[in-house]
Amino acid sequence: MGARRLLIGAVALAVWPGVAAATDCPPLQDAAGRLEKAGYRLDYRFEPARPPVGAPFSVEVALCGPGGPGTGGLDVDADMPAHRHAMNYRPEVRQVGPGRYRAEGLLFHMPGAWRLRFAAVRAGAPPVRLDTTVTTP
Amino acid sequence: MRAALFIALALAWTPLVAAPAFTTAERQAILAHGPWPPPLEPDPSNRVSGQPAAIALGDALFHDFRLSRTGDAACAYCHDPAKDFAGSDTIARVVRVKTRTLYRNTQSLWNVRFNRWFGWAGAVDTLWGASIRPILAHDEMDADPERIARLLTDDAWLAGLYARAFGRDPVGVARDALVVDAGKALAAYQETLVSPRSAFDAFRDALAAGDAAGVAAYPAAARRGARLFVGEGRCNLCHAGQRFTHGEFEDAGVPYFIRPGLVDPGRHGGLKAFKASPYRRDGAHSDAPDSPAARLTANVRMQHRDWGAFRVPSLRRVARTPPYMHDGSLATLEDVARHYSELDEERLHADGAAILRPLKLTQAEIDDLVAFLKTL
Repeated sequence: MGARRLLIGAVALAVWPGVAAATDCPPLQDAAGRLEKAGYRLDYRFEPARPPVGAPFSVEVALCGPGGPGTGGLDVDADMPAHRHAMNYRPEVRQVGPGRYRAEGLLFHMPGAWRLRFAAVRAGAPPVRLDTTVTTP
Repeated sequence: MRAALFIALALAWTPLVAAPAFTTAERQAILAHGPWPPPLEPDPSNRVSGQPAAIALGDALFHDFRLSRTGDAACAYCHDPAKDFAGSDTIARVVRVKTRTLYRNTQSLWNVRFNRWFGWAGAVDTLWGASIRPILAHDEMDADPERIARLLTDDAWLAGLYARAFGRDPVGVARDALVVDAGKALAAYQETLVSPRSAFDAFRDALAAGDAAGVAAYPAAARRGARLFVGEGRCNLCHAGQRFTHGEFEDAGVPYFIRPGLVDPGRHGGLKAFKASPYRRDGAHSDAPDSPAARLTANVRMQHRDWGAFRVPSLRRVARTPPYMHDGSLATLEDVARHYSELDEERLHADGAAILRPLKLTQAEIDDLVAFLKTL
């Protein structure tokens, strides 16, 4: 009886994608925010903790897709929709682990509401775009 | 009874005639313009940054007319220390065999060490590179690398300063290396030009500390001007941070046509020059080509709106450095305030950032804004 229950539990874990993804895609510690869309979950954290105005900063990202950690790549950018301008610099994005990315060289050159834009790259499909607003003082 | 009523009315009326308190958002925006001065970090791209011997050499070179081909110009000629390291002419003039006229306003060198980009168009991302450019520019000091190198090797005093700064005899050093070293020494000297604290800084710190007396000591007109600056004027979007500049490039609605057939492309031209510059932060002459700062500027975007955009200047000591704008076309701060008050939006870049709009200031508001600017 005990062995049967163990077998049922093991099969459930194997076929339940949410649980599989959770064990393969640990959340980002001390994340500043979480975005979810189309089966993707993206945690992000700034370094320094609050993006400065006029100085470069970095973003750490944990990306989980429907099948587990994001492996297709990640684009990161930002703009100010109200002012109709983007950042003046292209960030450098590199993968630092399974589903883990680091974007460096972001720079918010003026105070206000910036739209931080992430794009999870997928082979053979349009990227999944996840946006959030970051307001600098 | 009557006396008590009078006292009560007086107490109720007093806050209404005093300068109104700043809102939380206004206070936060004002505090973002300090504290002053910022931490002084050496420039990793310049191995002699901050070194006294290099500063001494740079000081000597800054004032040396022999750096120019005809011996009639030095860095200090246009960036006059007696005029806040700026010029007082509408445009810089270099008197040579025939007068050459430059088309951009001579900028002050105060706080230049904090820049990310140098020059009105940001043609280079190193202070030492920006120091070399005008020395070699045909329409400025018109020297050549051989002239700079000979100065350092043939003048015994300068050779001695060089040896102390760079730890080697200049004789035998490659000519191009001597040119770069001269630039780095000039940069080390200019890095010492940090402006002193101003009346605004005392006010800002008093506001941060909750020092009501310190805040009240700041002129009421300047306080009203500060409110305009960070509020309705939105000046702090571009004139942001401790230096009152975000250090990037904007279209301020000043025409970039110089004369029929001649235009100033601004940042667009600067970026083209930057791409080709041998004096870049990530270049062969940099002492830290892989630094985060080098990677940042190497990743600069070229954008359509760069055409006719110019670097936003710092407003510290702005009252001392007329005229204003990239072409020196505005003579006074009142003219600048009026420019933004009556801005012609048709002159703004069609693809540009939607930031500026005519402020439609009253004369009293213009006076307050100028009063504030005079305290920076």
